[in-house]
Parts: sequence; structure tokens; C-alpha cells
Amino acid sequence: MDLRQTVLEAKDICKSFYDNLVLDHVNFSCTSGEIHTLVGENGAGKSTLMRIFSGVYQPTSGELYLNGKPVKFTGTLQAQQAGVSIIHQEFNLVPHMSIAENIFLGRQLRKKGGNLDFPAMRRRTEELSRMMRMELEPDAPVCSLTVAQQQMVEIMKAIELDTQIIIMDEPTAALTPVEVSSLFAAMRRLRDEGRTIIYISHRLNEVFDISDRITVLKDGVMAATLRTEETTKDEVVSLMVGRKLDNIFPPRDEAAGEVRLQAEGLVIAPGKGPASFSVRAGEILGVTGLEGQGQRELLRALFGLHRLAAGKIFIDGQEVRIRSTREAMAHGVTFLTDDRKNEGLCLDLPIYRNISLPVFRRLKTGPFLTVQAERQETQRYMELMNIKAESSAKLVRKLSGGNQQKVLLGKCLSPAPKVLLVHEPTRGIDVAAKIEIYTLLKKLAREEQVAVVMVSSDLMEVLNVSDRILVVYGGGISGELAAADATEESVMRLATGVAKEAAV
Amino acid sequence: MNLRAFIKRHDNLFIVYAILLAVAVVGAVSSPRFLTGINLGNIMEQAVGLGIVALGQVLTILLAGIDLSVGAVVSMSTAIMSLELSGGAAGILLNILLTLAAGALVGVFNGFGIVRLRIPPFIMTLSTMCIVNGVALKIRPVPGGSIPYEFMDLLFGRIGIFPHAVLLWAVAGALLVWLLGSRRLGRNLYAVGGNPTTAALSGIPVGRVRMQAHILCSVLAAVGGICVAARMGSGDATLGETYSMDSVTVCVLGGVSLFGGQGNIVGLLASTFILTGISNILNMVGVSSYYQYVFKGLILLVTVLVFSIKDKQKG
Repeated sequence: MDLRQTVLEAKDICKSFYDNLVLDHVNFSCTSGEIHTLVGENGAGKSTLMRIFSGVYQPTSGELYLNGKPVKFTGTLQAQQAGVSIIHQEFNLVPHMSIAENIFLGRQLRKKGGNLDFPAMRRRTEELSRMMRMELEPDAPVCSLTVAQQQMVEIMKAIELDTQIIIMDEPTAALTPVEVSSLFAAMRRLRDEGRTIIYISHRLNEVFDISDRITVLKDGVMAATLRTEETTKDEVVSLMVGRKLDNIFPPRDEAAGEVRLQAEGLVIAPGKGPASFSVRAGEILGVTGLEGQGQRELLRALFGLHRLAAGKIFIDGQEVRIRSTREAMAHGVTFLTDDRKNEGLCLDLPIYRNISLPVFRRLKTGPFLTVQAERQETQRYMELMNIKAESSAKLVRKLSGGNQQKVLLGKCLSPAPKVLLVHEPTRGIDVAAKIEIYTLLKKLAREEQVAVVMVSSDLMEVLNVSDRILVVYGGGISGELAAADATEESVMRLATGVAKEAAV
Repeated sequence: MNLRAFIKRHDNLFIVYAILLAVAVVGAVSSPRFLTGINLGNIMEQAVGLGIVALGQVLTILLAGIDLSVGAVVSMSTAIMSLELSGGAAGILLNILLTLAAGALVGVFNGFGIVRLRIPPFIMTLSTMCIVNGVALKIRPVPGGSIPYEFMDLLFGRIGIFPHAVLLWAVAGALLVWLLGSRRLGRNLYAVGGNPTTAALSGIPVGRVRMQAHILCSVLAAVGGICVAARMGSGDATLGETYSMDSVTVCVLGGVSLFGGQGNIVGLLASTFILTGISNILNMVGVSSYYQYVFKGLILLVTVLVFSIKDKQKG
């Protein structure tokens, strides 16, 4: 290619969990002084590959070469020492410790005699923060920083480790555009010093902005490695998805009945919002926004999981009070959480126990609940949703992500809801399962006249599944778009508050 | 850093010292004897044992763990101290060494169970508590034995109003401030307590840190037990019972988070005196000791409530 040397090379990497092959003979290489982006759908295996590079996982088969020499990482510490560090999506910082202490965690500088050398650590932290063009007080506890600043602390930590390769797993997910551009400036400086950055992102605009090369993973197989200037977004998307977008999302049609759910002046916290909106029976309302703008709280408030400072909720024209999940369900509202493992499912219970959980009362015969009744109920949903399991007695933990998600959706449907609230309905599942979930949501809306509110950060999903799109900014609605007219750009403009300011 | 920011960062400390001040005022108002030198000396005498035990307890709580066996170690320590092993006052040295060794052994046992066998600290130290209580009762089935007068005088003779043992407490406290503040072990302790995954990923030997914390905790409990024994002048295998829960109370009152990684020992000085001061006041005004328990419980409840409301406001 050019004079740059290959620093990290993966040959024929395979990785399987239980019986699932997550990575299938992946070949990957990156050179010094490049920003190499890895793109792919949720569940394509990006994170798994990065965890292999950083020593969290060991490959089932295949080899890793670092600077031409074969290496086997048995842990992150070993990978760090060899020159690979990773910045995870969830930060690895100790919240109540200072910035300086976090940067030197486990490698504190010491004076003669073993007392810690705080002045030296502080000085070095200041140096690093100047290098990042940040004004950070070394003694400030990490929990007092913004997400973007915490991100910078992670990067400073990686630089202090002096690793040749820095892996960043979706570092921009929670950043504002200004913060993103300062992060990118920092990344470019690191690249120009000759370091390698492996970058994972979902945001194609950013990917094209920052990368030198792009590698596309699809269903655990490496689809292609492309030079950024020689490719187009369309090419990358079709490689990622492996089929045209039209085949993933259900066809557009129109149908909407009476207003089913109406929210007036919802205030998620004093000083935020207010937000007013409505959803019709048979309609899918897509709600999106940058992370932390309040869409999560608005959705959860409708299910009694977030206490509102003010606001009224009407269902079928009747004002209702929803202060607990129990009250929400009594009004025909169900909720699909974005945190499947902690909030959504009892992983160590069988499928039927999970699906029957919200409807024990209905399934009971006198005072007794029989397994038979539960399994009968569950069978309907197993068929409706095409849940792949040999029996409904299988433990949920043993299912794939996609099937777990379908069980979760089944749990939301068993109470026969009038209003279905879904939060990131397809996070971390494969395309096949996504298609099934989209089809099902559409069918529920159109055939059962359910009003669906879908909060999602996946723009493709919001643009293509919703009938109408609301964009949330600062706890209020910064704009509403008809799905047919909305574009990625028009949504992002509203999401960053740009459009609103322009209108003033 | 300006004063306001300083107070805000250390508001738990200000709260606990304010409570101590309030207790002192209540004491002074309710009895003229409260502020006398003799009484203040008595309070210190009572506080020393608990204070030292709590210094150990704080280490396990910073790790988001707990040590329920410290009370049993105190009991066992008084039992060992009261054995007449060899004649003469100097013979007590052997008792002291044995007590400290027994304490260290308990710490190793706790640490082994928690680190190697991965037993939750609550369960592990609960089991240890039972075992050690049994051992203490075997050594000293009924209260008795005696401790040389010279040794009692060494620890609880007074300079002015201060019992000598206060010096021991102060030294232990200073050592711990140093350990937690400027030694690698101390900082690693906070990291493990604050986020064990991060600590492990940063190359901190998490297991070793836990083990060292538990050994230190149990040894400090043994030191506390030695003080209790010297104050009582005899051994009693049930004397330590209240120390486990009281030391946890002291830590929580002192602003150390039960979730780990947060807090320091500066507050423990105040909280130890709050607890002993309240008992002292209630004794002086003649309130039955049964009500003292109720009082202790209420104080703990109110403090924790204040801390949690404050944290919620911080967001």
C-alpha cells in the first residue's frame, strides 16, 4: 500500500459463544498513523473483534500479529503492555476519584520511599489536558465531569499508557457536535504522531469525516476494507446491510385512527420541556434525539417509571394518572425496555414464565396458576413471533439476543395493550430478527390498532419504521416531521437544536 | 479552591462534626457533670476501643464489603489477654503477641474466603463471627481472669484528662490517614471499592488488596480488644458483641459510603465520640440502657437519611 507499516494484523479469527459463530474467519489489518474505522450493524461482531484485540476475549481460532510477531493476549493488562488499549463504550473510570488518580490508576507515580507523588501526577495530568486542548482541573472528581470530558480522561489515560494502538468503541454516542469535533481534532493529532486508532461508529457522516480506511463487518464476516476517498456512503451501507434498505423495512402505507394517547405539557424535570404530543391508534410514532435529551424520561414517564414535574396524560380522551407501572398497565399501556438483561427479562426463568409474568391474573384458574396455562399462552407468542427454541421451557439466558428480544416483545403483548411503548426495540440483534420485529410492530399497529411509541437512537430505524417522527431536545419537542419527508439531516438538525435556533 | 467548594466537597464531614457539637451542647445542658475533666476522660476511655475497631472496619467498608467478625475478635482478644500465661507484669507481652497473631489469622481466614472462595463478605464474616465467638467462649467460658494492674495503668493512666490509650488511637489514626492518602495500597483500596472492574482492568491486584484490608481490619480489631481488656481488667467472651454493629454505625455516621470507594477516616473521630457521648449523657441523666439502643438506632437512621437526601439533591 504505502510506506506505513502494518502494526496489528488478525488472520482467520473465529469466535463462537456457545453454538453461535460470532466471527467467521475475519482478516483485518491496520497500519501505523491511520484512523481505521470498523462499521457494521448491531451484532455484526465489531465489539467482539475489538475485545479480542484488547485481550478481553480469546479467539476460538486464528492468529493475531503485532508488528509482525504472533501474540496471544490472555488479559487486558497484557494487551496494554504490548501496546493495545481500548476505550469502552461504558467508561472505565472510578467516579469518586480525581482525574489525575484515574489516569494513573494502578500505575501511580511514587516518590522515594513509596509515598505517592501527587504533584508529579498533577503536573502530568495538566500536560496531557493541554495536549488535548482541554481545561481540566486534575483534582476534580471524575463524577463531576461531563460525558465528553470523561471521554477525554479515558483518552488521556490511553495516551499515558503510551500504547501504539488505541481502540475507541463508539466514543461519540453521547457527544454534542462541538465536542465531537474537538475529539476528532485530538484523534488526528494522535494519528499524526504515528499512532493507530481503531474507531467504531454507527454515524456514517462522522466515519467519512475521520477515517483513512473503513472496514465493513457483516454478520461476523469481513465484507470489505475500503479507502475512504475511494468509496461512498451508499457502497458502505449496502455492504453493511447486505441488501437494499427496502427489503429490511416494511413498506410504507398509511393508516391512522382516533387519537389514542395524548400528552400535554409533560415536564420531565424542572426547567425542561414542556413536551406535548399525541399518538393515534394504528400509528407508529418515532421519537429520537441525542442521548440524554429526555426522550428516555418521557417514554418512561408514560409507563410510570419516571415522575413528572408537571403534565397531563389522556388515553382515549380520558385523563389518566400514571404513577406506577401497575397503573399504566391497568390503562392498557405496556413498555419494552432498552435494558433487556436488567429490566426486561428474568434470564434464569424459562420463556413461558417470562411471557406469562404480566398476566398471571388472567391465566389463573381459581387460586391456581398451572404451568399448562402458562405454556399454552406462550405458545401463541412463540408462533406469532417465530421465537426459535425447542420448547417454551428453555431458559431465556440460553437464547440468542434476537430471540431474547422477541420474548421481551411477547411479554409486552400478552396483556393485549392499547398503547405499546418501545425503547430501542432492535438494539444488539441481527438483521433477520430486526426485520421480524419491524414487521410485527407494523402489523400490531395496522391490524390491532395499537398506538406504538418508539424511542430509538438508530436513525435508519426511526426514518423507515415510523409514520411520524418527533425530535426531542432539552426535554421538549424541537420538531415534528412526517416520516415520508424526513431525512437524516433534517432530523439531526432538530436533534442538535440547530433548526430551532435558525427559526428564531 | 475556595472555602465554599471545600465545604461542598467535604459536606459529610461538616455534618458529622456539627452533630458532635450538638451532642456536646445537649450534654452540657442536661448535666453539669458532663463537661468535667473526669467525665470527658471517661468518654475517651470508652471511645478508644470502639474508635480503633472502627478504623479497621472502615477499610472493609471502603471495599464495599463489611466485617461482622470484629466484635468476636474483640471478645476473643479480651479472653486471650486475661489468660495467665507466665508470671510477672512483663508476661503480658506474650498475651499481646498471641492476641495480635490471632487477629491476623482471623483476617487471613476472612480474606481467603472472600478472595479465593468468592464468598460474599457479609456471609463470610458472619460465619467467622460464629466461629471466633465459639473460640472465645472456649478460652473464657465465664468472665474472669485478670490483667496486670501495671498494664491497665499503662493504657488507662491519665495525663491531665487524657487516658494514655488515646495516644495509641491517635497513632493508629494517623497511620491510616497516611496509608489511605498517600500509599499505593490506600489509593488502590478506593479504586477497588469504587469500581472493581476498572481497578482490575488497570492492573490493580484486586484480590491482594482485599486480603490486606481484611488482615489489617482484624488486627486493628485485636488492638481494640486489647484496649477493652485493659480497661475492664478481666476477660469476657461476650464483651465484644456490640462492637461489630457499632463500628459499622461509626463508619456510616462518619460519612463512609456502604457502596464503597467513598469517604475517609477524618469523620470517624467525631462519629465515635457521638456514639459514646450519647451513651454517656443518657447514663448521666439516668435513662435505662434499653432506651440507649433505641436512641443509637434513631441517630443512625436520621444521619443516613440526611446523607441520602443530600446525595439525591446533588443528582
